[in-house]
Amino acid sequence: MKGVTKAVHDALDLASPTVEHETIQAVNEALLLGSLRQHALVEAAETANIQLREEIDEHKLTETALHRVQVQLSDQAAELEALVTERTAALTATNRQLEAVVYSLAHDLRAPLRAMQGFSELLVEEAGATLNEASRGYADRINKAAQFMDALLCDLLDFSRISQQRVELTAVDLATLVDSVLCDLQKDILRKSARVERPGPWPVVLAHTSILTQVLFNLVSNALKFVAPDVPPQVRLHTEERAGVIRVWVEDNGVGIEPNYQEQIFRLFTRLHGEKYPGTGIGLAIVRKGVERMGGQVGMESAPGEGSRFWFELRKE
Amino acid sequence: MINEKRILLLADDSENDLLLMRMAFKKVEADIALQEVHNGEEAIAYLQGVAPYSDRNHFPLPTVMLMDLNMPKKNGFDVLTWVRAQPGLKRLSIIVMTASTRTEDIERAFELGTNAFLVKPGNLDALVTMLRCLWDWIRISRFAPLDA
Repeated sequence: MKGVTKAVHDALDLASPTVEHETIQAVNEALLLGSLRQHALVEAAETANIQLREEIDEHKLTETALHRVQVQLSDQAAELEALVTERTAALTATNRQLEAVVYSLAHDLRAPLRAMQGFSELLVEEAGATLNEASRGYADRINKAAQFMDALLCDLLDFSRISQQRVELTAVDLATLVDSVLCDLQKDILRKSARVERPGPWPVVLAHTSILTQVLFNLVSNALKFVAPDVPPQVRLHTEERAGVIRVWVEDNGVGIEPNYQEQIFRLFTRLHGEKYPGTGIGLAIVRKGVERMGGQVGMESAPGEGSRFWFELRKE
Repeated sequence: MINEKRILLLADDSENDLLLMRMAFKKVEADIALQEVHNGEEAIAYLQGVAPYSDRNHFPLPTVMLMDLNMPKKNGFDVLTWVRAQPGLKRLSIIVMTASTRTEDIERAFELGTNAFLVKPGNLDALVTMLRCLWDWIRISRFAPLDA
């Protein structure tokens, strides 16, 4: 068979005009095929284009919808923010009004107290000889009660002032401030034969002088006050520095505080003792409020019978 | 001037406080004549010498005025403002003595020209101590004469 095919091929090779014709036809066919294929490609591209356009349109729709939602959201956020601002302003105003009421209340209540205290004392002075012991005792009770209430109102006024006043922080030299507080408490320290150590170191901190003075005064006078009877108070003041923050420690050898009361004692009007350690329950609330107004924190560590270690933190200058 | 009797004008609307101050000055044994007015308008009338204070023999110009801030009609700030605007009175020594401990009140009182600011003490002993200091200060001070 191979021989036959070869013979046919040879014969065809010789017949050249026929070959030429066939070649042209083949080329034509190829051209036609190419053109058909091109056409198909164009069609496919067009279909793809349409699809793409559709997809773009769809995308645009989605985008518009998304934008609309975004606008709505930001409108709502703005509305919410306005509402929050409004409510905050209202709350701040109420708060300020309340604090102003506390101030004028405490202020006005002191006037009749001055009269009660002053005149009960004058009564005993001038008529003391004609009064019997019980009557003198009553006058004395009026006097003491009025004095206590006055102390209460003074502390409340201090608390309210610290809450309300504008607080600008400046560089405060702790060394000078500690000196002046201990000087103010000198009488108390001598009367109780207390030992006060103050190893420091005493850097310069960012604080408000009068508020910081009151904070330290309250802490040290507490340390001198809450000791077991006949125990000379021992107070130690020192500092620690960590990452630009100064922690001031006020440690004592006092009666200490049980763990479950250690948070409570910083609240207004909290007292843990009866008449053995008289007080208004405002001192530590002033300490906390004062330190907070200066951007710091307060805390304490203690166990009953083992003294207390109070601390507060302020930023270093 | 140093041998003249010192005159203190008390301006306070609280009768109780006025009486307590009189008692406290008595305890201090201050050689001082006390005059009193009960509100800001009365204080201004007294200093002006208008009725009912026109008789300077009975109502002499004070050496020092000890004045409350919170008074009816005209308060202590109004009186301070008025006094410092009077050519004949601007040298008058004024001491504010009030129950207020507000920083703004202290600042404002000094801005308006008070010479000192005292806070009313809560008990008689403290008041006596305060007025003793005040009397000592008045005793050792020289005051410029007023020519109202």
